Amino acid sequence: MQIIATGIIIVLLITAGVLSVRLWCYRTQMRHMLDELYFLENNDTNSLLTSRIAVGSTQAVILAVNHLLTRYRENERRLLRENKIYRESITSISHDIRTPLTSAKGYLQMLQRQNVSEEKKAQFLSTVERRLDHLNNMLNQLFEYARIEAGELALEPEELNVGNLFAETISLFYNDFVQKGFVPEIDIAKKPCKIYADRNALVRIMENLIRNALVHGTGGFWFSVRVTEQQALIGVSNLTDSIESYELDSIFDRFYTTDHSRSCRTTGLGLAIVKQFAQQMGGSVQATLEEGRFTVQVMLPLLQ
Amino acid sequence: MEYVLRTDNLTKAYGKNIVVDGVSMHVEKGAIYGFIGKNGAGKTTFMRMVAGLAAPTNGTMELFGAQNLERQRTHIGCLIESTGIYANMTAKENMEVIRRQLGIADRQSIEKIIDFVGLNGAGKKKVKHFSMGMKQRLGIAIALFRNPDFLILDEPINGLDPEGIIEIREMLLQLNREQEITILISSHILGELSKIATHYGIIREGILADEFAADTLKERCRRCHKIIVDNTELAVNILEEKLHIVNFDVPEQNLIRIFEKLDETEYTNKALITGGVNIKESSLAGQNLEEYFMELLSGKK
Amino acid sequence: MFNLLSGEFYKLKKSKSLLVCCVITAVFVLVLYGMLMIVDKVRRGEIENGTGGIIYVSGEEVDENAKSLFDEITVMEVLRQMFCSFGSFATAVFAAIFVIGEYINGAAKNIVGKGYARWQIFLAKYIVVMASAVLQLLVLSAVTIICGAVVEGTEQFDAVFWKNFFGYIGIQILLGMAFVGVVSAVSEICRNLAAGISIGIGLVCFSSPLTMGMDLLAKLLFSQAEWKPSDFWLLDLASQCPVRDIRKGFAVHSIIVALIWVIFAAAVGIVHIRKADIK
Repeated sequence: MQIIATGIIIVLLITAGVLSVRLWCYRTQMRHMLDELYFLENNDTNSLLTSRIAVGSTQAVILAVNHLLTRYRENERRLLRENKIYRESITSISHDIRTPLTSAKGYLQMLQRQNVSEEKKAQFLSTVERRLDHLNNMLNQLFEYARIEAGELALEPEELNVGNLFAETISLFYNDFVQKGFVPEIDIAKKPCKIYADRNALVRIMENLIRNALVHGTGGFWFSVRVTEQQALIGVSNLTDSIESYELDSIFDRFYTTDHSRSCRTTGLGLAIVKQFAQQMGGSVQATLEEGRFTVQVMLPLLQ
Repeated sequence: MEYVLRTDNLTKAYGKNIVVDGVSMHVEKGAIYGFIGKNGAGKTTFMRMVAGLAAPTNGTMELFGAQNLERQRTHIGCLIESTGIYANMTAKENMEVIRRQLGIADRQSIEKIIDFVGLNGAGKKKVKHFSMGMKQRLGIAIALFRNPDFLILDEPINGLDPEGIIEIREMLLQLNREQEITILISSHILGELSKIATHYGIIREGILADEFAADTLKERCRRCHKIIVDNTELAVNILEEKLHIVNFDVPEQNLIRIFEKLDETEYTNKALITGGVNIKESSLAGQNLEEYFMELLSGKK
Repeated sequence: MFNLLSGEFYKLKKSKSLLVCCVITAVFVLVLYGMLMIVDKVRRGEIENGTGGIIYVSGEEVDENAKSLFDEITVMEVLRQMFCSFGSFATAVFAAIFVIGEYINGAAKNIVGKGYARWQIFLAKYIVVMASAVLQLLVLSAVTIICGAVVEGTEQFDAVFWKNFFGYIGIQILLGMAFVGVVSAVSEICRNLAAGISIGIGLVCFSSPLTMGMDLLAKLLFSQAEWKPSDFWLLDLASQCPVRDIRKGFAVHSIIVALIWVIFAAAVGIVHIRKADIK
């Protein structure tokens, strides 16, 4: 009897010992975590929670809290970045708007003078018109982008032949290329390539791609439409010297421009619009840079 | 002005040999502080004191504005001299030791950090077979492991190939921009340092000779037309009235530095002489960084 | 502190040297037993040389009914031999390598000054080194017992035997732990691999003559005293420990001395690590 009693007492003592040690471990760990959480709350820091004694489920708690912290910090940083980009773009857009307006105003003032020949007047008037057209285009692009993003543009999809449409669009810009001294290579697949999409959106994609190449490219223009089993691939390629490989991710971002000198006065929305429309059609975009040759590809799902 | 590190007269002497002599450094939050000095000038010893590896003989320091250094040091990462690693283990195992010691709960964090520094090709290779560049990367991984706010790097690009140097540079810039990590980096490769540093500290024989921002450096090294005249006021007057030069300064009596019209120095000189000023010396000055630093390091400035 | 211990145990797990030391220890025991078996068989003329002749020791008669060598050299005797020579040797070398290795490869830089008090860093290493010494000595005991069982059969393993056995290895392991602690403290101070290992080996080999000398000195100076210096040195106590019927007084004395040395060595190591710079 006595042995059993002693046995039971020993077992109880050991259990009590183990439990109190575990309790102490939990308390120490909790105190440590509270300490660190207090620090994290009151300081701008990168650190995360660490563990002092790995007991029970405290590790899982720490992991979860750290996960939240990381997400929170990423969000904050992204917000700061986007605000910065937004502010910068508003500044540059207002500059872009002001410039043609000022120029137009200048010419109007000149027109109001007494001793201006009829020939000169005609010239000035057409310049003013060009400036205002340019301004109009820019504003249209801006508003269009805003509406696309907000999903406000009503799309009316129909059956479209990508190859034909691309050829038509290129022909509109052909002269602009020739004037610059280039003959673009055109490679459109013979197979018919049909997709189901809004005509204006597709035309806009093509226009923006071609215009982008025209403005930024330095030569070697190449336009193509290829067909795979599932997709139509619209490709625009040109030589360039104004883009770096680390920028490839960002060129589809809104307002992103490589010309910080603002010599070309672009809004930085062209490719962003391409991406938006492509995605709304269920497709995707991709950009590559290889030894000075910049290529944008738009992949759109074929009409099955 | 928030200082991540502020030392006050920090001194380290080994017997009679004073290696670090009364250094009072100020590292601002968000800066990349380039710490420049010849070999043996005391850079490494200073950094070891900041990292807590060596006790200062004299002087105090503050980390993140606080004096409780032990606690604050949990927020700094260091790579001082050679990487501290266990040669017989792989990179991941080395990181696992550190992970346990620092109490980092997330086991995935090892993969992430190895990926970040570009060591995921190492696999099962034991560290003793690593190249110098890989060891440096592992060292940086160890320093970055606990998400520090302040990084202390002692000659991190030592022994790296050009590709490695560029990668480390990009990494540091990214860390500084995206995670707002302040970096104190010592090097004697001026070219590299000048590409990323926002502040400089020059140490010469244990003494902090000078401490300035990168913009100030540009100022001091600017190309200019340097003239030593006998009548500074008259000369200034002529510059402003006759020549309409506004971009100049008078660093000391009789010395004028003109920053514009640098290709018309003969006209400037002629105007001054005609106006009654005697020119003692006229030259086109301006240094590149290396020359400037060499002068600082050897004590001529 | 727990984190530090966790790290140290991981290092131990991954370090090959512990495995190597244990294996070498086991091999030593096996070789010793092998040798003894051969000698025994030779004395009894049981070994043939391949052409029908018998190998014998010249000058001695071959006695087929001679007593088995293992009647004199019991398992406990072998155990005592191993503990007093090789056991302290292997554990000391491993301890020196483990402690000093940290400073040589610079890994100490990673953990010093990162939020842990310096004494915790030393203590964690201290505890782990002692644990590894315990492991090695247990391996030693286990292999010896197994060899003994294989060679002599298991009839000798009665209750009395086990009582003696556990008592003996209990005290030896305690003293061994304390000795390893001393070697760790010395290693922490010198931080040089050659010096550390030499001092460790030196202590094992030469401490006995030293304490004997000190005994004589003490006797000359304090002839009235009842105690002598060698009563307080770990390795002397280890070699004096009887293989059977250990007196209670001796056991208690040994335990107290071991504890004192453990605490003293820890204190010395802690004081040193707090002051010294880390290279």
